[in-house]
Amino acid sequence: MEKYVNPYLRLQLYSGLLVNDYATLSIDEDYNQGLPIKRLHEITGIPLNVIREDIVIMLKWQSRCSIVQADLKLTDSVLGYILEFDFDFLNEEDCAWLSKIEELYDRLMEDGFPDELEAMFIKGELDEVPLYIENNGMFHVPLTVDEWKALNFYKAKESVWNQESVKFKKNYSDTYVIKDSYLFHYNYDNLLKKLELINQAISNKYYLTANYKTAKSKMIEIKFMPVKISYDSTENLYYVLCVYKEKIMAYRLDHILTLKIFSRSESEEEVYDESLFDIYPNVWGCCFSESPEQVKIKFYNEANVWNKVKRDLECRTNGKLYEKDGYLYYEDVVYGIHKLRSWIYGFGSSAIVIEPQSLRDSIIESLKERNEFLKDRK
Amino acid sequence: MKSKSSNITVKEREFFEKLKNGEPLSVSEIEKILNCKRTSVYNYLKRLKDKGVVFKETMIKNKVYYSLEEMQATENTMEYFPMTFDILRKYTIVQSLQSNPVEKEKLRKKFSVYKPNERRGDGERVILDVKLTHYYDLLKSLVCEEKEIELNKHDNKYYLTGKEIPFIWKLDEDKMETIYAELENIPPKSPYDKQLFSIYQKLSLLRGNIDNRLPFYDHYLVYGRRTNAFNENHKFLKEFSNYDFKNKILNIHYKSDKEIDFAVGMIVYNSEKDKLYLLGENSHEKNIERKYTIINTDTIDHISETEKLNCCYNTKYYHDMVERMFSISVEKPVYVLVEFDNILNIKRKIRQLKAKRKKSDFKIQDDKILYEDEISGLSDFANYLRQFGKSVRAIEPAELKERMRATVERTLMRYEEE
Repeated sequence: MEKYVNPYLRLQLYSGLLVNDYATLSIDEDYNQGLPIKRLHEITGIPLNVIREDIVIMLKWQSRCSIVQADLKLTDSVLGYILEFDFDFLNEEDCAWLSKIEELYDRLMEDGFPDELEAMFIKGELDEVPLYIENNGMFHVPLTVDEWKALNFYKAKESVWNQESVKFKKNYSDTYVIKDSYLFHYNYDNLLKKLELINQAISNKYYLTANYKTAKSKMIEIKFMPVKISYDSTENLYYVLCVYKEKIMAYRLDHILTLKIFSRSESEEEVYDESLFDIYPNVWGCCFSESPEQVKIKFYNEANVWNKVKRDLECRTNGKLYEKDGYLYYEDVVYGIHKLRSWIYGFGSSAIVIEPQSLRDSIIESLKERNEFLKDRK
Repeated sequence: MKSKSSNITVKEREFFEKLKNGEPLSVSEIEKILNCKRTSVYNYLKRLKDKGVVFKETMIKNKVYYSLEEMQATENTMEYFPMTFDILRKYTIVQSLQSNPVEKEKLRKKFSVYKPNERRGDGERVILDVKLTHYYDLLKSLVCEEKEIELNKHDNKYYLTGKEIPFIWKLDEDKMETIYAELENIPPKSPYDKQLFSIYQKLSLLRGNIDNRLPFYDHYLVYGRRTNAFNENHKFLKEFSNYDFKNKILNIHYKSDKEIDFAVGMIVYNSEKDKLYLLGENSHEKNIERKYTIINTDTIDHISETEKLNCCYNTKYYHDMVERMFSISVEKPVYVLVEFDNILNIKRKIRQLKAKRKKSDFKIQDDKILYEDEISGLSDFANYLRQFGKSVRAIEPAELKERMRATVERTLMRYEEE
């Protein structure tokens, strides 16, 4: 969690949390407006004495600015914030103490910050009094440059975000640009609705029904209870997984055309064996139901091959990656050997299959065909 | 004193970083870091001790060296830089730029800061309780030291940099709820997930929910390559922003034995390679074929500023260059024509590729897909094509065909050797 050691970030945090418009959402329903110091500390983890000192400085500065405003006879001018106490929240039984605070607060805005009030803050005597800032019913979300850029790619198509994005770009002295991977194509608008429904179904054990386009472009209707969502970050593909007769079935999310809840699970006891998913680090292209094969691949140490291999295989936690005699070797049991083959092709001559013989033979045959073709075309 | 007080937070951070790194510091060293006198150092150390910081004092050659004892696990307030009047004033100046960049002289007029002959109480102004000199000191601190604001020399306007002070995104309730619901469903380890999760946490806080986990984290099985470097970009950029790379040529030592006088054209994060690069020009190289250079920021050993001007930062040429490159390359773009078999997932991948590449197009002719494009970086494009195995054939240019042919030949040889 963010520690807010930077005072600028704390200022933004206070602006965001000490809201005064509870007609919409409240940060904490126990309070009418704003939050007391004690609650701020509980929510944010910022030490109590840091928050107390921050509030004192903010109120002192507010006091100084009020005096400047009066001196310059400025009307309708703006402080970055107006920090107020919610005195109405306090228990009327403490009315002597309450009157004292109110009196000190009134002096603050006219005569400068009273030492007595500062002492009360620092000792923690005002930790329970809610404080709020005028924020006109808007929520203030601080975005770093990296967060803005990430949101930019995520929301690429949505027109509302595009307007905001243009504003960010206009206001910022941009330091770097992102050259996004040619592998990724974002279509989050459609995708997120499906993910939302599937996540609901997984959490609540609902059955879903979908119109699904098969690999052969045939339209079928499917009914299933989703148990997991698989995401292939290399191919940027999502699959919804279900279990049928002790086997994992995978449906591509981009092939699901319509999706809706069909029914709740008929039996609360309907369970599946979770250990079925232990093999997922071995699965390529979500091919859970294919036969496993033992593979061994040798990689040459040239260009940036080894770094790329290590990066791509970081998730393959059931396999072995080791160096021997100046080469890098990958050994694993693989489900979805044809997907592995595409990955191997991407390394050109820097990747050589040792096992299985069938994969090795099919690659050599393919290379020979291509060699003949290229010779003819020369 | 006024100018020093606006610098003190930056200096304190530097002091604190050295302590956290375990460096024992003498009083004279602390004087240099904090840029203050000996008495001030002792007062500062006393204030920290009053806050509960425990120092270890070691005598070495008749000098006392201060280092940090083990920090308390909780309530360690030393880490928290203090809020001061100047922080509040500078924050107010920064907030005035959130809506729009502002011209140099117009910025001052947004505030209740008046020149000697200027009429007071004239118009609406944001209150700043300082006089003109102090205002300029605050601005200088923001521009030169903290680098939260930058003056663009082309349009003479101040812009935010977002270095430490984030941009404020103002949302009404509906928009907030929509984006919150969407971010809940972002899978872990998807592109930019760390940043999107950070936004989710901020929205959670605003909704009164301090639970840090994504609610559906356990629903996902994720595999494939990771993009970890994007999360570390800010570390390099924070250091690099100490150099005036936008306006000055830099002398850069990299890859242990290379040195270059480098005019930065653009900084690019490439998500496919998961690396941050500098694109720019070797200022000594006259040959146009050789002057453009890429430097992987991981390989940089040392940087210094020269006095020579950089005239090529962020120009259209570099924007076009980034657009044309397939992955990362400064080569001249070439026309490519490639034929694919129209099978299985290939059409989907070509569609995705076309969506990314403005100058590309493809046609489907019976069982073939013809793809054409203007690409900079044939080597990267060839790497991309290889994954399609025998389902792809390079038609143009001849160089690409030759690369593909040479790869096939070399691979066959290696299989025969094995």
